[in-house]
Amino acid sequence: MAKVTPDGVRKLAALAHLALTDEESVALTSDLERILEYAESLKSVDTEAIEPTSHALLEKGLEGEGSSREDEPRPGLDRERLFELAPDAGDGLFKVPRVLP
Amino acid sequence: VSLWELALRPLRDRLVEGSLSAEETARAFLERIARMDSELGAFLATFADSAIVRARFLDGLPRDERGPLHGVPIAVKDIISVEGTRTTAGSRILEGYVAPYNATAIERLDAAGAVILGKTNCDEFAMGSSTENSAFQITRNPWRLDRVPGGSSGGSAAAVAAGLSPAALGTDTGGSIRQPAALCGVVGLKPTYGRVSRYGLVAFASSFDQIGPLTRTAEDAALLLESLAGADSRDSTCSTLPVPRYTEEIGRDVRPLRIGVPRDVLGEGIDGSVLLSFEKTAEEFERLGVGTEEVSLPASKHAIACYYLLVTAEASSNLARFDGVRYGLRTKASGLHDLHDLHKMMSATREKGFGREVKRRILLGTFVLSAGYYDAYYEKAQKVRSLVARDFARAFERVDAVLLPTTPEPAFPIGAKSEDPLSMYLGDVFTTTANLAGLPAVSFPAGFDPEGLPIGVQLLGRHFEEGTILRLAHAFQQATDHHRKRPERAS
Repeated sequence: MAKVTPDGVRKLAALAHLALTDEESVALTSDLERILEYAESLKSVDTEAIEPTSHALLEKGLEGEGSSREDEPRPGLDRERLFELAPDAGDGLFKVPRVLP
Repeated sequence: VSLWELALRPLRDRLVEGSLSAEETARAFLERIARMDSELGAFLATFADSAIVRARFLDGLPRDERGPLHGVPIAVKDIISVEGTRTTAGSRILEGYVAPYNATAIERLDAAGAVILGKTNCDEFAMGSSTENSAFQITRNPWRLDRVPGGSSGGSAAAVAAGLSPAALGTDTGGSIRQPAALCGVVGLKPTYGRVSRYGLVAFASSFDQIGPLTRTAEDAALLLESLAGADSRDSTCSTLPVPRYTEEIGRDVRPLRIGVPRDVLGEGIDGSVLLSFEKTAEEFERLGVGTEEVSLPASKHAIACYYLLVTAEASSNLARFDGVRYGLRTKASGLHDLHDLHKMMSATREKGFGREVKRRILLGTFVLSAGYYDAYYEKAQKVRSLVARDFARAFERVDAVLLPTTPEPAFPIGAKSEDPLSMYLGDVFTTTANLAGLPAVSFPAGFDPEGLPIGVQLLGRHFEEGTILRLAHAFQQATDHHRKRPERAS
């Protein structure tokens, strides 16, 4: 079974853009350990020659014909209205902290 | 009979014929919410002004322009976008966010003549089974205030159970419509994956999420689904199959149908009164002339492990969009001067904006997708997902529906599982299979435990055969009274 450590959790957190507190890292490490231990039971299932399912209806051919339509431009949501929702925007741009030195 | 005691169908009939106005109906429910909801916490927001304006407009419509949901009040889970109103998904990270467009489900309700009363509480990003993971408030079960209403659509279920709204929209990723419906003694329908457009629904796990109705009766669920279902070019996974007349289908004879009873999944840890209600429901169907037979679902015992590995993977990807850049919360960190600081802003925003369960799931999902673990966890779970679906496909060669309990126990006390994520997950033992296999499933009231808490059972059907499971549930409700009983405090 995969070993989960507080260090490993901190690395995962960095990948997921989460700045965890030390208390959270410790608590979440033991949560993840328990959940993954429970999930170990999957290893006992024989899945030889079984295809993975990413979408329950794809193989049944029941999904909508809309799943691939022509890629044509059409009106979207109002730009100004969307910028109003941003924490910081201006000049038709979303503003973020400076990313260049 | 008071307005709030009416099911949606009789209410709609009075509204269409004009013996009741949409305005007095909206006022009656808004007044009831104002009077009763401080105790329950079912609603995060009510739209008193816009609902009255809308109701007056509908009252002015000539009879031949009145839609199938004319004047009917509906509550909406606060994870579905309603234009011009706050949509929080139960999370602080969407603080200040006002939806700039309507979900397709909301457009459909509008077109059918419904009046939206307000937004209901839910677990943050629909991640939870008790509504305790809402960043804003807890919701109490109308049957007993010290119990959870279930989740994640707990606000919607509590609202319908308490008569604060005749119907509500919820979403179901692993049971989030059916489980609270069972715990609150109402009907909850999870449609087939792809039956209802997900456009405008804040995504949790995109290959699982479905929008569906919570109502008092199967007939009402049929009526709502007729308006909600159907193709949508803005959701490529939404099916273009024609939408049947569910309200007609439910009236057909149930005797040609057969129900499968998978007793092999009824293992340990299931409450005695749940098992009793389950067996009595099977007997009632026999009395109605519906044949029952044993079916076997051997892969179902792996459903919870399979489900939690897959949905957390999808969630870790979906929730990457909440980064403090385009909408919602941004945490101001001082001295931001380089790329490192941009990442610091994002991490600080997500740290502050997400609750514990959401972080837990993002981390688990990031783990199962990471190099070295992908095959052992994520792909393995995808294969087991195929096996779960295969079991049902095999059962549906012999039967038209599969009967299962909805939950292993009635509503549990508030706080009983909130510190133990795994025990909370294990409560989803009977609900996740429908989502893994993309099947439609309807939970309906089937009895009460000795303390008077409601118990639900569910019927799962073949893909796109909502009409069949609703027909069976409707016949059951015609023959029984469980769904007519209301919590005392609601009377």
